Formats: sequence, structure tokens, C-alpha cells
Amino acid sequence: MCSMNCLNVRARALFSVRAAFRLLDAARRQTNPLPLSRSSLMTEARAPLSSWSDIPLELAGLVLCRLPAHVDRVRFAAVCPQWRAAAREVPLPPPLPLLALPDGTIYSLPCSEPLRFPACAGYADACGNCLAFLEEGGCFLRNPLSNATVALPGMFRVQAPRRGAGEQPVDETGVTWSEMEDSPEKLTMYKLLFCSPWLIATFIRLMNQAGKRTAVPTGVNEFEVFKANFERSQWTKVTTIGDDQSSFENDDEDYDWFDEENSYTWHVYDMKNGNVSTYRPICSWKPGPVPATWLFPEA
Amino acid sequence: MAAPESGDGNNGAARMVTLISSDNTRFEVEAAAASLSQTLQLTILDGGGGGGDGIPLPNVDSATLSKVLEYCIKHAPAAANGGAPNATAVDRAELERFDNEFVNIDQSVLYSLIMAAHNLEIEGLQSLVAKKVADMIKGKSPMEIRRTLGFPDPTPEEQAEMNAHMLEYGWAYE
Repeated sequence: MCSMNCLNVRARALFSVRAAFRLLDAARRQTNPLPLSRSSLMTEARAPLSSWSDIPLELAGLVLCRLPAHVDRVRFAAVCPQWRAAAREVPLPPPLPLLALPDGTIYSLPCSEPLRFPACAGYADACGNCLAFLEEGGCFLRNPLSNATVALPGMFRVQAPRRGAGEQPVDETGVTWSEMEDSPEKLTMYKLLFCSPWLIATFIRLMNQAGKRTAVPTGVNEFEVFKANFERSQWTKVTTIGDDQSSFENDDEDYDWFDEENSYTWHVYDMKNGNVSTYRPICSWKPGPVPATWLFPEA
Repeated sequence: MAAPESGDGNNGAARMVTLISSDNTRFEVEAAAASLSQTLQLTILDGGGGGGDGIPLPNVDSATLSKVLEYCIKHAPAAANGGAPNATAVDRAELERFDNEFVNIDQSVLYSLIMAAHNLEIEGLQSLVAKKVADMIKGKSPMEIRRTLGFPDPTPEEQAEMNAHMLEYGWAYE
């Protein structure tokens, strides 16, 4: 989880975003639960059900549990109203994440078939389950899976740290913050952080302060290991697999669940046995300013 | 009737029970195999199904019951060993091969099987068919899934709802 330290950079802007997507989803949902079918086979006979659409919720859940790919679950829900209700009602383990490439191709793990999302090509960054787009009118987030969008506030109200501002209030680290006079053209979004559905932080780069962007560790043999935290729909950095069995810091080997720096392909690193394997889909992409990114669909 | 035995093989011949399908066919099977069904297990523990009585199963026809019992008979020894922790790799591989072939059948039979397994509460069989159905669904579009599983043509209401869903999740319909 993003701690408050993450926000303590030279320039910052905080956006308060309501859980717009959740509300949208909730509005669409109608409560239409299927009755949970319980058998009473030995006391009463009943006409056999005749179609897969009428299978009890419990059985639909058994099938759904065996569909780890998000795309398969969405398609399952599209088959008939009864199955759609089942997909809503049955508690399921979270689906596997999707891998989004900058050209608008998305892979729903673990299936190998590429899905085309033309509206998602050219994103500037990823933020939680959304892709961020920068346009002249401002920036907005789009959930590529539902196509819902949320406009973000403009960045011209950003506050910047100043030295020797005298009467301006000073924060706990001794830095003075004041509203910038710079025009918005001089601001570039550097990184969006999804802290919670109510708080999104953006790290911006000031064009007139070139080279002062937040340092990001890079290097041939440096890597970071992240664990997919499905409950929070994000990656959590890990340095150990428990009981101090292994530390990933300063390791010479180049393991990463998603090695973005060098190879631009992705691999799975098994933290239990240390094996690195290449899973389907096998895909690669050209290095560019915008990285491929993971999307965590909501279960 | 004598106190029911929970296991078999203690006194020579295994205890047998009789199951009667909806079309009145009688199946005599070892109690251990029938007990894979949680529902039947209770009746059998109470001493039912023996002698000339038989346990009526009004929701399961003879073709389906025969298939269900084929599964139960194959899986009973492993189940009796508590999930067969001591089973050899060969045994496990054999059971896996059996399972794979067992569900390599038409969707209509799979449907009858999973419904019977649900009614009889045979957990392993429900899981096995559910896995097969999931494998049949993977990578298919909603219409392909409907065709694969023999759904009738969608009603106008169903079609309208599918269209609405398609508008929202067009990417999943390619």
C-alpha cells in the first residue's frame, strides 16, 4: 500500500476521486438471486431440469471457480441471465490479472488469445484498474474492461515546494508548499498511484526543473519482486517469502514476475522453489516510454 | 437387521445395497461405493438399502445411475483410504486416466451426471464434471458456449439482455 511517504515528493497533487466505478457497477446490478437448489431426492420426485441454463447456483459456482481468466468469467456471465446471476452471486477467488500492452492489446491470463482494445491504445499510465489518458482538455481514467471513464481534476492548481518563502506554512519535513504560477503546459504527469478508491496521487515532472524527477532504481542486475495482492487489486513489494528464507535485495539474478526493464517479456518467478518459467501467453513488446501494465479486474 | 458396518471386507463378503432408478431398474452395489454419495451414506448407515428394500432414487434414471455407479465403484477404494494418501503414483495416474475418459462424453450426459451428482451429493463427481464443463467453456465466445452446451436459441428477452451485455463488454465477444 502506498504510504504517506510516497506522497512526500518535490511536487504533488492529490485527487480525491469517489468510487465512481463501484457506484456505476452497483447501479447496473439488479438483485435477482437464483434460489439455492437443495436436493430432497428421496422424498419427492420432480421433473428433471432440462437445460444447462437452469443448473443450481452451487454447480454454476463450481464451474466458475475453474475459470481463472477474467475474460472467461465475463463470457460465462454473457451466456444467459441465469448464469449472469450466478456470476454475480457466487463468491469466487479473484480472477488472474490482465496484461495490457501500449498498443491496445490485452491478454487475459492464463489464456493466450490477444484481445483488442482500440480505445485503450496510447495510454500514458496505469492507475489501479484504469488506464490514464492525457488529452488537451485534461486527463481522465478509463476502465478498459467496462469502458467507464472518470475525468481527473486539472493539474494547474498543483502546489510546489518553495525555498525561503517566509510566511508560508511549513510541513513536518520543513518544506514550504505554495501554489505554482507555472502554466499547465509545463507539467508532465510522471506517475499515477492508486492509493485507494478515494485517493489517487500523481507524481508530476516540472519541465523547467529537468533532471529532478523522482529517482527510480534501474540497473542491469537490479530488480524488485512484487506479489499480486488480489484483495487490493495491486502489486505489493516483497523482500522475503516468509521466515526470512530468502531476501531479494541486491540479488544478482534477474527475476521478476514482470521484468519490465530489460526483456520486455514476462515470466513467472516461483518464490517457493526459485524457478522462473515462461507461461502462456508468450508475448513481447517494444521498449518505449509507456510500459506494459497489469490490470486487476474486480472479482 | 444387524448393526451396519462402516467398512467392508471384515467378514468376507462386502455389504451390498440396492438402488432403484426412476425407471424402476434395480442396481446392486457395494455399500462402500454407494456411500460416496453423502445423501445415500446416511441412509446406508441407518441400515437402509439392504435385503429386498432398495433405496428409490426418483430423480435419477437408469442410464445416469449406471454411469454414476461406474464412477463410485472406481473411486471407492481410494475414498476408503481417506483420499488415498498412500496410493502409488501408478494408482493415481490410473484414476486420472479413468476420470479423463469418463467425462469424455456428450454434453447432455454430462448434464444428467452433474445434476445426479448434485442430488446425491457426490462431491468428487460434481467437481470432475464441473472441471470438464469449464474446460469446454474456456476461450469460447458466449454464443459458442451456448452451441457447445446445446442451449436452445435465446428467447427475445434473453437476446435483448445479451445484446445489452455485449454493448458493455464488447471486447469479450470477439
